[in-house]
Amino acid sequence: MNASTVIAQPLVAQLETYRPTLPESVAERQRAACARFLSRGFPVRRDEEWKYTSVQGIANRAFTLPDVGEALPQTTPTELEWPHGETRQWRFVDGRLVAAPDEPPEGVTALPLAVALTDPFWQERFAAFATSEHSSFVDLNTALASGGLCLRITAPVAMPLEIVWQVSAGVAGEGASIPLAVHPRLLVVVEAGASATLIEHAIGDAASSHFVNAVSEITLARNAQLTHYVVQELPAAVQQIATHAVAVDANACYRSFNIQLGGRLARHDFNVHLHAPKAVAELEGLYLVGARQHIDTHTRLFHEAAATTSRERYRLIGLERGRGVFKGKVRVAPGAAKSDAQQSVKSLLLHPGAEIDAKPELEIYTDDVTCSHGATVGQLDRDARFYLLSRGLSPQEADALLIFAFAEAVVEAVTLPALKTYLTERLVGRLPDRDILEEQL
Amino acid sequence: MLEVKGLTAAVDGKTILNGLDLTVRAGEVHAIMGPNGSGKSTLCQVLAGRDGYEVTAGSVRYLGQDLLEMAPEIRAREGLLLSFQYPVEIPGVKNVYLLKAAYNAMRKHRGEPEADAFEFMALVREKMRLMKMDESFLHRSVNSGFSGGEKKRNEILQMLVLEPKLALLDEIDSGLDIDALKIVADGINRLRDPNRAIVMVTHYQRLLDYVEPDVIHVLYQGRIIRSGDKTLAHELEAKGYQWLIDEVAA
Repeated sequence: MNASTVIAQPLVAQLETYRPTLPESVAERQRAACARFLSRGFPVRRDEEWKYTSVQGIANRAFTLPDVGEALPQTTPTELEWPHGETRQWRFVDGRLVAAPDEPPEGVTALPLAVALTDPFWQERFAAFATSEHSSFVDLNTALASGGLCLRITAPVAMPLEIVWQVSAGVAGEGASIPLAVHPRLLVVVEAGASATLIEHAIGDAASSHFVNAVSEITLARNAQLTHYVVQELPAAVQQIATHAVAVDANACYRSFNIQLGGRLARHDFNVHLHAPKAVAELEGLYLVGARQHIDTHTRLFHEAAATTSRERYRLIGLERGRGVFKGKVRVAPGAAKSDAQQSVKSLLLHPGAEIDAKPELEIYTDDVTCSHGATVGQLDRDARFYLLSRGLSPQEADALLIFAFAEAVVEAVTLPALKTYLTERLVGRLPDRDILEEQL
Repeated sequence: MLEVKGLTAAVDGKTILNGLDLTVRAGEVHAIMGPNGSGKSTLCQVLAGRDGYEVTAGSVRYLGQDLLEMAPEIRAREGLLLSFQYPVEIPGVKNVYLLKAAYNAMRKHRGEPEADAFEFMALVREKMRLMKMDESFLHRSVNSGFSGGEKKRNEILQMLVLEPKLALLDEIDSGLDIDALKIVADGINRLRDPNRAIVMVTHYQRLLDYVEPDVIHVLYQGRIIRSGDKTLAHELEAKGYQWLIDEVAA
């Protein structure tokens, strides 16, 4: 592939004069990732994994990398306030840590990325298994990551841990402010028998048009549990690519909620490896796709050991002239007998210009497994609608309740009460006939 | 209250109701029986306003108005309520939301203010006790994961809360064990009122042992072929429908 056709010239120049951004310990890995990215370039629509999502709008645009030495751009603090209930919070602006808890909860060690990488524990784990096989964006992040967080959880932790990833309006330039390319990196290790709840909330200044390329590497040891909320509410002009690489050991359970509400382009990949017996993954997702939004999630569940279980439930709502994409791959490796994989993806199109592509993909290389998947795209259930009308509800009320119920199926499963309330309010605010819902709920 | 004249209706071009006449007055309880495929459920659906049914002839007057001209939600707000043979599961819509939305829709239609939340809940709880339903039902999704008996009790609960003028019960007794049947029948008997009419569609005489109808009709091939008092039900139970069909044909 001729990289120069798909990488904008300023980025090529940056990468050709590349200097590692992180401690010397991982410099080799960074250089190698840089070289791979230069030879491979951005993904194109010919790549099967990028068939429905064009990243030309990222590839062709000149972004500036945040200057670590510079003063922080102005932020809008009100945007940071959200009634989550009590959490321990780390706040980042354009990939730079601006606030951390005075003291993390017992059982949690938290270090900024650059500090952590002076420790062999984290050196070993950086870029250890986040593969660029499906996406060269992982290499780009590895090469350019300058900020992020490393979380090590060594005991059951009840207090939710929260990371707020905020984007600013950009650094002041001549005329308009200059959009940045931000490459945050998150490493999470949940040790044997430990458990935690992690919330990642992406928000930002309404004027922002940054490109965010996030990578997280998450490891669950035996009997560990992690509930991972990804709540994406980026401003309307921001483009975000995020790759979550997750390794789940024996009897451990990884649960994710992928709530996609904002951004112009948001592409999330969840690569979940169930690499030891009885590892479990539960993936829940909800999109609200508004006007000119493109929201895409690719999940890849790798059943690599016997008796592994995955449950997947996604609900996609096309509200306006936008596009939603979901591709859910399940691969059951030879030897992963007695594995159980269930996937349910339902989409609702509420606008003639809304478009949703949902595609399951099963690759099963062993007998004695239970796999099921179902994907539907459609309008509201006619029987349910008539039932509500027959009770005297108006057609608008019936539709509003049914649309809400469709989305609520995922929100209902959120176990943090404050977050559930927050998401319900967000949902109601975006759905048609919100006054009807506010009255009813 | 209800006057059906020569009602003829088709689904997908196939005529199901074929010149049906039925008159129901306030205070009366009617039972409509008949073999499978005779048009019992179609009659209920047409009266409730389900789309997909084409009325090709006849008329239906309800409280002096042309029922067929009314949208389904207006029929309900005017007091015509159908309990479904197969109550629809609606995951995510809580029972209490539906009850409240329906209750307020009816009050609004009558020009009354919205119910006070506290009084409304007190009313619902009282009716739930009658139907032997536990409080948790309120916060469960409408009919979702309910047993057959729970679904039917929920239908009657809605009737008790919404107080229809005309209650149409489509096979309210199907899928019920004897205990649930007694609870449901008790609920129906509580609905009996000089200002209200009840029309029950059923396959079985069993329900009529608990809810005694004033009039029994036999529906066959889309029209009522015989009407009588409760002794007709015993005759049907003993002899089946065929003798009647033969007698009418003769």
